[in-house]
Amino acid sequence: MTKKTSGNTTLSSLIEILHITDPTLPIGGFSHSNGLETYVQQNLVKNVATTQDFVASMITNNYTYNDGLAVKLAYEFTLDNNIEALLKLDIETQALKAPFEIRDGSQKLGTRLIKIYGKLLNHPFLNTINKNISEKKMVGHYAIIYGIVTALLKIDKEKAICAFLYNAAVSIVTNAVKLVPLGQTDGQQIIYDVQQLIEDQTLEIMKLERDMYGVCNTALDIKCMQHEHLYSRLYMS
Amino acid sequence: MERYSLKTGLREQTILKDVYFTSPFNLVEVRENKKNQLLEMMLMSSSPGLLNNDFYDITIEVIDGSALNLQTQSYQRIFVSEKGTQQNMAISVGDDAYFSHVPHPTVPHKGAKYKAKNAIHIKGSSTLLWGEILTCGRKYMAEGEEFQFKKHHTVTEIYQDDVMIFKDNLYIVPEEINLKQFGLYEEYTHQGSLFFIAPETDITERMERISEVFSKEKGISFGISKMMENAYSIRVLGNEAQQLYKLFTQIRKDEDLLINLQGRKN
Repeated sequence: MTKKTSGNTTLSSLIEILHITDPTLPIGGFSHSNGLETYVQQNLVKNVATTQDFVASMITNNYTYNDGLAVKLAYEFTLDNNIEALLKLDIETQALKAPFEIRDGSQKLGTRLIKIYGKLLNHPFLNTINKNISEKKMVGHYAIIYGIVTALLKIDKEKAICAFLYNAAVSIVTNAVKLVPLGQTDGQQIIYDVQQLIEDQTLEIMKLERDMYGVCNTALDIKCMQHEHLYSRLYMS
Repeated sequence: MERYSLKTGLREQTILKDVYFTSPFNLVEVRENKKNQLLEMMLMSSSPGLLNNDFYDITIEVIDGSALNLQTQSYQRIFVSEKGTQQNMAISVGDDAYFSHVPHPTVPHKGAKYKAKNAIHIKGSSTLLWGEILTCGRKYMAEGEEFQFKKHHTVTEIYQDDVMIFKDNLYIVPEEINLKQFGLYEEYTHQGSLFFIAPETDITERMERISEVFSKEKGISFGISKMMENAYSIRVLGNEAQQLYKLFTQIRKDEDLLINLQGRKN
C-alpha cells in the first residue's frame, strides 16, 4: 500500500519522528555502547549517579558538537540541495572519528538507515546519496543520513535534532541498565531527568558555528580506543 | 605578523633550499651527521612566547623525495594579550617525502586566548608524523595556574591528495566547561594527540610496540587506533608535560631513524 499523506500535517510529522527514532528500527544501535562498556569495566560508571553524569556529559560535550551538529548541518545542506557540502561533511566526519570502532559503528548505522529509508521513500535525493556511497565518494555516517532523511521528511529541524539527542540518551541508558546494571526505574528516572538538558542542548546546537564541528572529547576517545582491547566485550564499541 | 617559512631541496641528502624568518624567529640546521638523509631544523625564538596579539604565520614545504624534521627549542608559552594570539601553519609534503614535527608542549598562561590552524597537505606516498601536547598552564607556580587561560582553540586538518583524512578540533574554555566531566580530561591536566601515516605500510606492529611502551608508564591514560590500514592516531591524557613529550619524542626519533637508515640503503 502506498502512503497517501506527504508529511504535511502535524500528526503525520510526529509519526515520522517516532518512526525514525524508534529503538526497534533495525539499524543495530543497541549493539554499540560507544565507550560506555569501557567506563563500566573500569568501574568509573558504576551506579545511578555516575550513569546520570555520564549521560549528561555525553549530551553536553559529545553529541552537541559532534553527531548533533552533524544532523543540523546535513539537514540544512539537504534543504539547499547541496550534495557537494554533504560529501565534504561526511568525509570530515570520517576524519574526526579517530577511534576505529566509533567510526565503523557510525558507518554501519548510517548504511542501514539509508537502506531502510531509501526503500521507504524512493526519493531521488536519497538515490543520489546512495549512488555516492556505492561509488565510495562518501561513507554515509549515521548522523548525516539521519539529517538528510529528516529534512526530506519535512520534519521540523529543531525537533529532528531534539529527537536525535533523545534517542542517543535512551540508547546510553538502555545499555547502562544492562551493563552497570541499574534497575529499570532508575533508567527511566535518568531519561526523565535529562529532558531539560536535551532541550537546552538542542537550542545550543541551533546556534553553533560551523567551526565548532567535531570538538574533541579526549578521554572519551581514549576509552573508545581502549574498548578494542577489552578482555570481554558485549558490545561492538 | 611574525613569519617563518622553509623549503627543502634535494641533493644527495635533503638540504635547506629556502628559508625566511622575521623576528623573533631563527631557524638553524641541527643535523649532526651530515651524511644523514633527514634534514633536522631547530626553530629558535628570542621571544618568551606568544604575546602582544602576536600572529605567527608559518609555511613549510617538503619537496618530493626529501625528508624534514622540525624541532622546537622550548615550551611554547602563550601570554595574556588583549586580542589574543594566533598561529597559522601551512605544510605541504610531496611525493615520497617525509615530515616529522613534535613540538614542545604548549603552556597557556592565565588569561591567554589562542587560536591555531594547522593545514597539512600530503600525497599518497608521503610519510607524516604529527604530534601536539597541551598543558593546563603553569600548575606548579605558587598561586597555581591550572586551567586559568581564557580560550584555546586548535584545529588541525590533514589532507591526503586533497581529501581530509584526519581532523582534530581542540576547543577548551575552562570557564564554560567543567573539564573533569566524563569524556573530557577527567582526572588529568595534560593532553596529547599524535597522528602517523606511512605509504603501503602495515602499522599494526608499530601500534603494538607503542602500546607496550605506553602501558608501562604511570599516571597516564592512552588509546591508539587505526585510522586507515597505514595510519594510526594516539590520544593521551596525563599530568606531566615532560612525560608526554618524552613519549611522543621517542616515537618521532624512531621514525626519523628509519628515514636515515633507508637513506643509507638507497
